[in-house]
Amino acid sequence: MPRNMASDTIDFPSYLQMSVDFFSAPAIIEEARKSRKIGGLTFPFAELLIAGGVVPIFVPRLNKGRRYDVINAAIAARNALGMRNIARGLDFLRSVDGSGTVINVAGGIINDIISSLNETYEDAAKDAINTGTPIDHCYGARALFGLYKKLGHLIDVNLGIDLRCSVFFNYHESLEINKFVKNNYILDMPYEDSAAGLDFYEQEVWDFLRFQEKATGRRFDEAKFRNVLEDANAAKELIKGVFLDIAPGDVLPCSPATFSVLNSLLVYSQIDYNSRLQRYVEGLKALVQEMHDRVDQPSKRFDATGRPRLIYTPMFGGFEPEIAQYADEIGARVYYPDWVIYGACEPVKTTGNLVRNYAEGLMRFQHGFGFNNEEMANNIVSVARRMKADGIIFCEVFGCRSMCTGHRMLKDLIRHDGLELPVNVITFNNIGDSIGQVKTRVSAMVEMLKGR
Amino acid sequence: MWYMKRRSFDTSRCAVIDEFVDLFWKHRDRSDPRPVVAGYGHQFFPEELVAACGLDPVNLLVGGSEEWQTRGMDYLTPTSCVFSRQMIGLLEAARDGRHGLPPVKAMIHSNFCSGDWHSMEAIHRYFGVDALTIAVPYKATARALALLAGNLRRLAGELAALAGSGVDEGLLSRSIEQARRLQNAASRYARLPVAGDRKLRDYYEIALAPWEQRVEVANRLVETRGREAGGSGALPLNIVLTGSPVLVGDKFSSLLDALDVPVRFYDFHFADQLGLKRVPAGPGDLVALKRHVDFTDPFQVLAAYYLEVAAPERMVQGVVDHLNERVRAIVDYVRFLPDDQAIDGVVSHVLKFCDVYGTDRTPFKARVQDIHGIPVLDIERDYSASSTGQITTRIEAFKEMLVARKKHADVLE
Repeated sequence: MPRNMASDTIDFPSYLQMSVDFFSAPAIIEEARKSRKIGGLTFPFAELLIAGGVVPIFVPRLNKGRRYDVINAAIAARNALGMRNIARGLDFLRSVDGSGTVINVAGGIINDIISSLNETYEDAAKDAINTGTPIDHCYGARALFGLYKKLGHLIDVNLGIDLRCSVFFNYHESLEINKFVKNNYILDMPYEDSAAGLDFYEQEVWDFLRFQEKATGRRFDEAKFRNVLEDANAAKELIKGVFLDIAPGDVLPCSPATFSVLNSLLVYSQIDYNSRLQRYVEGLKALVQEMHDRVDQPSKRFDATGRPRLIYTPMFGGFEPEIAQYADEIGARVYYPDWVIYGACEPVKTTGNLVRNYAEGLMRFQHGFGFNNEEMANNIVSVARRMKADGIIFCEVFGCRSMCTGHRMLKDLIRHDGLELPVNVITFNNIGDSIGQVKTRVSAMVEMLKGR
Repeated sequence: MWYMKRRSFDTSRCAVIDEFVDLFWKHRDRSDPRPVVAGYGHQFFPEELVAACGLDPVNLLVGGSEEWQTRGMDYLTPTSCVFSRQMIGLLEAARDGRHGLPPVKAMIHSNFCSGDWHSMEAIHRYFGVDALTIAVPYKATARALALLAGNLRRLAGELAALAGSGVDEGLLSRSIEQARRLQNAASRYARLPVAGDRKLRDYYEIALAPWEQRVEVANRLVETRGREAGGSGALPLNIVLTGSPVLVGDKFSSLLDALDVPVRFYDFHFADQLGLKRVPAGPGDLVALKRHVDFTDPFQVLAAYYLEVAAPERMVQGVVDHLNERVRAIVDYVRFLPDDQAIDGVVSHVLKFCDVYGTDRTPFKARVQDIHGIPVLDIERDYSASSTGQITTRIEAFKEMLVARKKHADVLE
């Protein structure tokens, strides 16, 4: 039986667990609302919310997709049997089912669930246009606008962290202008890494914490903040390990296509830690351990020797998920180390002035995206080297006039430094658009890399 | 610069730059050029500061080049603002030195929008133009005021070093006072029944004159146009043109003239907005920052101006609804009209992929029309000639509607 995403997933319990946790946000939030306030955010800085007693949520997770019935069933089954037993059960069924039906059904469902997340984005992006969002805004801003329009009323406080992108500042303000969220805080940014800039950032964070207290009626707990930071640091370290230790290897814990989907799950789940930080850290530990275990098991591991490693970035603002599957089919592998590149996986010091330390963390995030394109290009190249990447797929999102303008500088930097690291710039507008063209370009790149 | 490339470009074909160059030299002595510090056509170009440091501030109010707009795509993305792309094309073309401007000592690199920020980076990295950065926060808060005032002070030091002088706060205070006098002159000019491209060219002339001569140039134009206009009747329509500025070389304003829709108020920072906005002189001139500014410190005064007054459409949050501020300013142009006149229509002009004016197009139009009852024509364009036909048709239809509306209102009266 050929290796595919379905066959990987059904006997990968920690991955199943993380996926179910990710997709079961509506149920988690519904339960949490009974006693807690809910905080929305777009970038992975949920610690401020958690330490303020707020349950963080990355809004796309709130949408009940087409296959939410399956998620509900999976939650119920997991609660009754435990995920390991489900995985064993599915594995047993697969072993006695020579026709492959179990795998095909399971795989179809898993693919459907993942597709429904992508559909969530697509529908929201289109809805945003109907509401007056300019059609030339980037996909990410459009999709989030549409999702906040639909689900923003479920959020009690919203934290808008911004980067060097004026569209994103405007998008955050549009949530207020259109009354999609009740309490919206836009974190300003200093555009410079200086003592004054850091003071500015620290004051912004304190201002947000007071704003959050007022909106939620709960005090920010500095002792809790320390614990939260420690847990978050642990999560970040584990995530970095996946990208910097496991991904560069020639043996993967699952097929490249599955590993790519797992990458994307890590990118999106890190934003709000699946709304339950401690559980997320436990889940990550189990996931990383299981990955290492699978690498040691011939029946479970995937020999990726000779398969070019392609970094696909940026993906968090919208990406073409079919590329990873296609790359697998043509003998390559696609990785999504966005938060590693853009500085969101760096630990925050847990001694001394924690809020100041957090402000330093935010500053590192700004450096991750770069105060300018040259800095960003250097970050991409640096992580690509650490991951032993053979090539870079740079996703130029239609409508992005900030980070995606760095494509030229990325290529020029690589050329100037004499690196053997080809860059393929693909454009992205909506999922599925021009997929044929993109596949052709990726195929040419993979052929070239294999021919070296 | 490690990846500078030289491209040859024939500037002799550039009518756009010729027009700009002519305006630049109109009030300057070609035999004695002063060192120029340039900026883009947006609000966050602290000309007061540049002038106070003994340098010649020149806002590159250049627009309209389809060729340069296309060249810029090599350095940005196709969905970067057409103006920012065009500026890259312009600066690339200007490297051959045959354009007739004195060399630019440095450019002010601002974060008014992503287009400005990233195009300026490309210009600095690829064309070797020195960039002096001034980044303005997005919220008008006390800490933003402190940060920006500090940045302006730092910038002043860099400018003074460029000029070979020191920072003189007294000179800056005088420069700010000059800005206020210019705003007063602009206010007088705005009251004159002058409209159309000729008015816009007057504003270009003022904006491109040497800093110390601008008030004089403005006053002279007030006198001249006042004499020309004396006794002339009301204009058939009072139109406000707002949004992305129409700059030297861009024929959009003359298109409106040709279609008999001359613009009465150009809602651009270098044009009629000068008559509405003031560099704050006291707490009464501010809302969000009034309690935080030390008005004896010219850097704080300037910072407050840029945060709270200069470009509310670019700012976010705070005590002021920025979209309402922009709408209020449009409606406020009526103060320059005789009592029996009103604003008849607004043309909202947005260059493609403009962050600042593009994002709020829809709610802006809704507020002006639904709340204030002023019809809005929403035009989105770039510098290519291909969409002129469609735009012409829409402007003609808009004009017909306004004329009919006005006749109907007169009849009812």
